[in-house]
Amino acid sequence: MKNQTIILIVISIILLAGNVFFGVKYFTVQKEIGQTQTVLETQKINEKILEFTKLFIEKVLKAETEVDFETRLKLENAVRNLGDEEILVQWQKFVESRTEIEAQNEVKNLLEMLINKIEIQ
Amino acid sequence: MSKNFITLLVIVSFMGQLVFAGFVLASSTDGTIDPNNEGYKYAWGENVGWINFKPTGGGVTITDSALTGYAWGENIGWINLNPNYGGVTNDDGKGSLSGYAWGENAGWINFNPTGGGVTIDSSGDFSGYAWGENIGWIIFDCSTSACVKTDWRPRSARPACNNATDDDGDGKTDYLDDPGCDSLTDDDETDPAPSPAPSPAPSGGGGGLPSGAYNPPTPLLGGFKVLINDDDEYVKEREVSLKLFAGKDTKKMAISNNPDFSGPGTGQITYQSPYTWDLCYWQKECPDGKYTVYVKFYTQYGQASEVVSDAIILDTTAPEIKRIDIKDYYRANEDVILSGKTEAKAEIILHWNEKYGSVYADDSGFWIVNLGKMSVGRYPLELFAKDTAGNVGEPLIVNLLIKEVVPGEEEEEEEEEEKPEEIITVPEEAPLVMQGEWQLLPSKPIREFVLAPLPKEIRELAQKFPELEETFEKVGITKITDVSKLKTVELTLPGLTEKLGLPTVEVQPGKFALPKGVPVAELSPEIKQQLPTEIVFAKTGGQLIDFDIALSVTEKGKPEQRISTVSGKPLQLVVKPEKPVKSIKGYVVFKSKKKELGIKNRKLSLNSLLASMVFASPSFAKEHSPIEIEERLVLLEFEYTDPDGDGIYTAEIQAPLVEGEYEIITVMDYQDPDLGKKEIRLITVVDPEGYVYTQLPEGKLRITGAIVSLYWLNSETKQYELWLAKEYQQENPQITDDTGKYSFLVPEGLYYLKVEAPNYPTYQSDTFSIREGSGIHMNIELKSKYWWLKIIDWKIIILIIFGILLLYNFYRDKIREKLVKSKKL
Repeated sequence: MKNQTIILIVISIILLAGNVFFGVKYFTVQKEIGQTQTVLETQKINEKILEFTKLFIEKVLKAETEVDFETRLKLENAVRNLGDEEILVQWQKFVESRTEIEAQNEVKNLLEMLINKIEIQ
Repeated sequence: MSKNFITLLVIVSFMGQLVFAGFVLASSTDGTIDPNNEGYKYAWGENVGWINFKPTGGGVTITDSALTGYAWGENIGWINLNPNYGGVTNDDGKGSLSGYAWGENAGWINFNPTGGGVTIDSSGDFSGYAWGENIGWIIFDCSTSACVKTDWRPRSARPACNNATDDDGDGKTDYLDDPGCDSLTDDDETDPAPSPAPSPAPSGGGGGLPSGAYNPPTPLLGGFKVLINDDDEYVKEREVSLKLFAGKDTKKMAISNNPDFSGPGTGQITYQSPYTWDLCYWQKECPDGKYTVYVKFYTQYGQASEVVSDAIILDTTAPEIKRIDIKDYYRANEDVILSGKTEAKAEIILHWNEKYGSVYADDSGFWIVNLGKMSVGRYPLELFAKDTAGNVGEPLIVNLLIKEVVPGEEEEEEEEEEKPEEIITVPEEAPLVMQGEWQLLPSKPIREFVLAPLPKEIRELAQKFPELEETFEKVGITKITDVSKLKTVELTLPGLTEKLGLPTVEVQPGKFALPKGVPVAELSPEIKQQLPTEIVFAKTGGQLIDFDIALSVTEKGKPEQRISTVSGKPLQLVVKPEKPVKSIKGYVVFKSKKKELGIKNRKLSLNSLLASMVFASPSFAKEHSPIEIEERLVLLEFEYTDPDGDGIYTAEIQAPLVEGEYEIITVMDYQDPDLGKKEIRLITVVDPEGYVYTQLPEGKLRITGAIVSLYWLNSETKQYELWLAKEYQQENPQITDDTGKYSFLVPEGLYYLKVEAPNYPTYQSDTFSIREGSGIHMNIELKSKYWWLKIIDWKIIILIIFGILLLYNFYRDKIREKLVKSKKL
């Protein structure tokens, strides 16, 4: 009887310790998942920014003729897809430039902003 | 038995000859008509009907020079392509036919008449018109039924190894004759690179293929790869661009639509990327569907890689908008939402009210779009679909009718389900920034940065040495942004002797001539006048040996000159100031203990461009900064002198005894106060002397009294002779002291060393080549005559004795056993 009690107590302690161990482990893993998700999110945003920048350079900066409506549509969709209000505002400033000097300044600002938005961890 | 076998072998070989000969005859160089029996053998005569170029009992063959054989006209009988006094010729294998055929009923038929002419194109199709004096035009046109095809191909369409042309200009033509050809399908006649020369070995060595000849080609980091149209999923044209990824040793490749490379394919052709490829290679029809392209890569020795592939879907069908759900009218206060069906994943582009928008269909082809609210009126809406391959469907125009708001209907509107987001639009007219009329990147600062000239020091150096300027031009060093290219390169500056057109001095006229510099004192006044100013020249061996001085560019873009000498050796320095000077002082400053090996390890030597230059070692004069010298460890201070007053200053110093990197700083104090003081820096790497030693278990033992002799290859007698060191103020042979040290500073040439020492066998080195002014200071190990005795110590002796006793014991056992056996018997 006494032995049974001791065994039960030992098992309970082991189970309790197991619960504590797995509980701590669970929260640690949760934290790691959170961190990984943040890194992944950043990586996705970086990829989107790079893709837009590439498109912008290829289709606008290197353009020798008028940019066609399909490309403009693609650019508009891509810039909104970034989900970054600052970049969108800067893009609109560039698109709405009224003079060549203004466009040159805005293009520099836009490129600077795009590069600064890429996070390197 | 063996006789039968030989007979069988002969028969088999003979049959093989016949079989292979058959294959060779039916080829792109000796062609037949309609080789695949597809019915492409008929031309059409406007007055005489069909003419068969592959009739039973006849047939036409095509070579690079002519057409021969007979065609059959259904109404005119036989036509001889190679009659007496005529004949149809093939213009030097170009596929342009000319000359006359003869028909007993048709008369002469001209294959190159005015207003006509027949050609064979790169696909083997006959096209054009021939003219028969009695029968009128004969038509060859493969877009109609009057189609004649051959397997002969014009030379321009055949692989380089099968085009009867010496493409690589080596005097050998095509497969079998040209060693650059692996097969008839090989598209590169270039001979394989010669095997690297075997390294000199005492026992000699053979030639043959290098050891790597049997290795497959090396892949790139990500492995061998082929990408069709940059890995696109769809394509709308059968012609695609292949991007190929293979290592540097890949010289050839083969492309096919079959994984086992059977059927039509390129065969082995020169490796090139990108490469244009037809998804339906050699086929007329190319239906929509998935196509896979297979590629293999080869080394120059024909070793193949694994097969890599990529697939793409050919879609040539334009998508259509199958259905559109649109209301009869919309109210001005509601969003205009319409939906429809099209090809899966297609993009629907909408154009209305002077703007464009687009939406993508889902996997089932369903699309829905919200055009937002519109004011009252009628709006034509143009829609068209574009699929992922880029095919664009026919536009569809519908009218949007927007009516005024009717009170009471609003509540109904609000009950609607979740609406799609309003479409993103762009105006019909491109904004000013995208009209292609402005320069979006300011050109002035870019131009100023990119086109800025080379730094002043490098520019001036190039001016003083036109050969260097020429080298810069050749390798494209013209701007400040090019300086970075020089950081990984080591250049040898043009030598003074060559620059001034000085002849080399002969040590013993008539016997042999050494490539030597000229002592400055012996230069004529005219030549002294041409000596570049503000450049330090380093010489040794009584000014007869010019140091091989390398020019490199530092991280800061400054030119830096560097020489290598041996510790304790004399060094003569020569400099000519630009203007009269009060004095010229020199300082030897300690720089670092270890040599910087970086630049040597990654250099791309351009010495070959300037190999013949004897004099070297320029440096640039720049403003003198006394603080820099004061802060560092000055080992020696010396003064340059000009005893003959010719404006050329010289100084003689000893190279430091301790190995390391030193800087020789020459400071010129100009009389003109405006010029002030200028300094020239020359980095000197001091190597230790070589020594002769023997290896003992305790370490290296330097050998005293070893006679080190240096032998030089006399280019005239082709014999190695003892190097005449006295002419260069040195000793040869040298007898080593307690330190075992020796060294030589020698001019360019081929040398070997011989070392003799008592109780040691004579050592003779391999021959080695020396560049101008380099030191010979290798460490030489001498092995004792009884060196093997040294490895036997008391432990080994005990082991040997023990082994002998053990063997003796076994021997005695055997003897005993034999005795016992004999006694028993």
